[in-house]
Amino acid sequence: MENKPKLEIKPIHLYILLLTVIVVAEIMKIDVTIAPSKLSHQFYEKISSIPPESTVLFSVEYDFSSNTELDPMLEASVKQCMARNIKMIFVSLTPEGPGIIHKVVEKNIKNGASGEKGLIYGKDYVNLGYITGGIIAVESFMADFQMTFPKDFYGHKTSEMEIITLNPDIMNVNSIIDFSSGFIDAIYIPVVYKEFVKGRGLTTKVLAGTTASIVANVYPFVQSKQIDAFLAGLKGAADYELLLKLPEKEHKAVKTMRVQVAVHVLLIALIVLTNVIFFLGKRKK
Amino acid sequence: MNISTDINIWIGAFLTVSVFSILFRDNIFYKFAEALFIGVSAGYFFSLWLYDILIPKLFEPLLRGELIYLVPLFLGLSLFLSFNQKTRWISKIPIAFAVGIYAGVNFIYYLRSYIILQISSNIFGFVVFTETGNIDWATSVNNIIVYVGVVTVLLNFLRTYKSNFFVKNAGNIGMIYIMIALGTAFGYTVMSRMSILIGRIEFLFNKVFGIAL
Repeated sequence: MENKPKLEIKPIHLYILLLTVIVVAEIMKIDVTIAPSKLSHQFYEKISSIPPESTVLFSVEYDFSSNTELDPMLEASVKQCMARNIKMIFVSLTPEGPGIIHKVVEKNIKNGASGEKGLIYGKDYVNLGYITGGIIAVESFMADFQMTFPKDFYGHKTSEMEIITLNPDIMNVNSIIDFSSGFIDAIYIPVVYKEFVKGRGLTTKVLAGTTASIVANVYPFVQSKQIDAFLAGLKGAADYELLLKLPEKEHKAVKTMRVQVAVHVLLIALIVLTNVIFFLGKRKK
Repeated sequence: MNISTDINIWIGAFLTVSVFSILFRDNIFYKFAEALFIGVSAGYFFSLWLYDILIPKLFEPLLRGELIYLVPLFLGLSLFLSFNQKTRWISKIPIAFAVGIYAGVNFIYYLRSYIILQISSNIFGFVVFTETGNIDWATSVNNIIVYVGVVTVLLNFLRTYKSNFFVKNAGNIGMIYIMIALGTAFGYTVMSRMSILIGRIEFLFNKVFGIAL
C-alpha cells in the first residue's frame, strides 16, 4: 500500500498565517462598525460631568508592553480633561509609568489638546513620578501628596507647586482615573482608591481602564459599584475614541480594533476547523 | 513609504525582530535581545529606585537630621544579613515588619472588597419593576441567571464533600458557569496578547517604514 505524505502543521506555519492576516488586515483597512458599550458611555459621561477647574488624579499602573491597549485610553482621557480645563495630578505605581505619562501629556500639549491657553506645569498638571509600595503607597499619598512626593518626577519641589498646595490630599480631588495592566495588585488598586475615599465620607468617583487580560477579574467590582466606570481593553479604548469624536487621524485604538477583528475571525476559524478534524478523526477510529 | 532615519526607531525595530525570531528557533539575536532587556531593566530600576526613592525619601531626610529615618535604613540594610548563617535571624525582622504591615492594611480592604461588598451586591430582587410598574424583563432574567450561577457554582465545590442527586446536578450547572467564566477570561487574554502583537507590527509599519495604515 502506498504511503500518503502526511500534512504536518508546525507552530511556525500558524505564526506565518497570523502575521499574514495582520499585514493584510492592516493594508486592506477593513471597515468595522464599533458600537460603544454602556460601560464606555459611562466612562465618557463621568469625565464630561467633571466641572472645569476641578482636579483629577491619574494613576498609571502599566508598562510599555501594554501601551497598545492603555496608551489610547490615557491619551484620550488626558485630551478630554485638557479640553475641559481640568487640572491633573499624575502618579505611578510602576517604574515605567512616569515616562509613559511624560510622553502622553507632552504629545497632547504639542498637538494643541489644551487649546490656545496652553498648560502651566505645577499649576495645571504635575507628574509626581513613581512610588513603590503598592497599596501602602496609595494610602500614604492619598493622605498627603507633598509628604509622599517631596519632589516630582523632574526633581522640582512639590511644596512650591500651586496644584499641590491647593490639593494637599485627596479631599479636593474630584475623580480618580486608574489605568492598569496585569501586574500584582493592579486589579485591586482602583478598589482601594474607592474604599479609601468612601472611608472618609467622600463622593470621589473612581474610573478605571485595564488591559483585556484582567477584564474578567475587574467586572465583579464594576457590578458591585466599587468602580464607577470602566474601559475594557482595546475595545473600550476604541469606544472611548469614538465617543470623544476624535478626528480619524487621531484614532489609535479604532485602527488596531480593525486588525483585532480580523485576527479573531482567524482564531475562531482555526478553533472550528481543528474541532471538525478532531471529531472526524475520532469517528474514523 | 517614508523610511525612518531615527537610530532609536531602528534599534527598536532590530530588537522587535530579534525577539520574534524565537518563534522560528532559538538563536543568537534572541539571546542578545533577552540579555539586553534584563540588563537595561536592572540598570533602569536601580537608578530609578536610587534617585526617586532612596535619595529623596531616605538619605535627604537623614542628612537633614531626621533620625527617625534610621529605622527604615536599619530594616533595609538588615535584609543583607541573610547571607550569613549566624546573622540570618536579624533579616527576618524587616520581612516580618513588611508582611505584618501589608497583611494589616490589606485585611480590611480585602474583607470589604472581596467578601462583604461582593456578597451584598449579589442580594437583589428576582423580579425588577420599571418606574411605570411594568416588569423589567432584561434585568429580572439577568438577576435570575446571577442567582442560579452563584448557588450552583458554590454547590459545585461541595461535590467532593457531599454528593447527592441535587448537589451533583446543580454542580454540573455550576461547572458550565465556571467554564464560561474561564473561557471569557481566556478569550480576553488572547485579545490582549494579540493587541500587543498588532502594536509591534504597526510599529514596524508606521515608525520604521513610514507606511500609514
